[in-house]
Amino acid sequence: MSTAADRYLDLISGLRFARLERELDGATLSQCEEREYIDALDSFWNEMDHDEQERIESLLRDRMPNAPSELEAKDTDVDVGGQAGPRREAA
Amino acid sequence: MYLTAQRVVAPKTGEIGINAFLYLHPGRTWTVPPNEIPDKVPGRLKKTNIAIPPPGNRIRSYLDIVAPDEISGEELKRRLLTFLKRVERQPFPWDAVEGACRFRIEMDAQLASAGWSKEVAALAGAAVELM
Repeated sequence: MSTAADRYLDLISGLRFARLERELDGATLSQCEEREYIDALDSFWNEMDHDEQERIESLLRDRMPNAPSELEAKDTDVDVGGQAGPRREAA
Repeated sequence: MYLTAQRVVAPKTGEIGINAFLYLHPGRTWTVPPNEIPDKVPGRLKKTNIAIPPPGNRIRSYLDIVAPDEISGEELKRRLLTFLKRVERQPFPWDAVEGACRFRIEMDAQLASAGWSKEVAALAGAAVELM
């Protein structure tokens, strides 16, 4: 993989975590901060040839974490002061 | 503490919301989270924030946090981000110890494909409101 492709993947992850960190503070990235990421991503993207762009898109799809279609759990009744957990595996 | 938030869907109405729960463990401290928390010993329920009243709602996602009762919000956030960077490419459920904290996250495929980080932020936001 080229340097541009490596940097592109690093930046995608960096942008995700920058957004998340800000959201955990109850805020969002400013338009200016978003723009800096997007401009850098565009720049690295344009340095790649078509085949490499396709490989990156495929790699990003593969990086999506596997998740079940449904969770096998339901919530339960709880009382403040009690010691019961808030969910159980569905029977 | 055991701090948890779970997105639920009401089976009859289809209403969706996030319920959050804070359990405490007074008098207990740890440097490594005890194995029995939260599944065997959740702790004593101190506070809740209920959007969709239980019981019987289907769980679509959850975030479990086991951490010392006295941990600061800033430290918890730092630990959570470190945990997420370690697990982000693994299949769900994500479950790992990070310092004195244990984190566990699971969500259904629809939420994950819409953006797991958005869901984690929503769950964490609901959870930390109880701290």
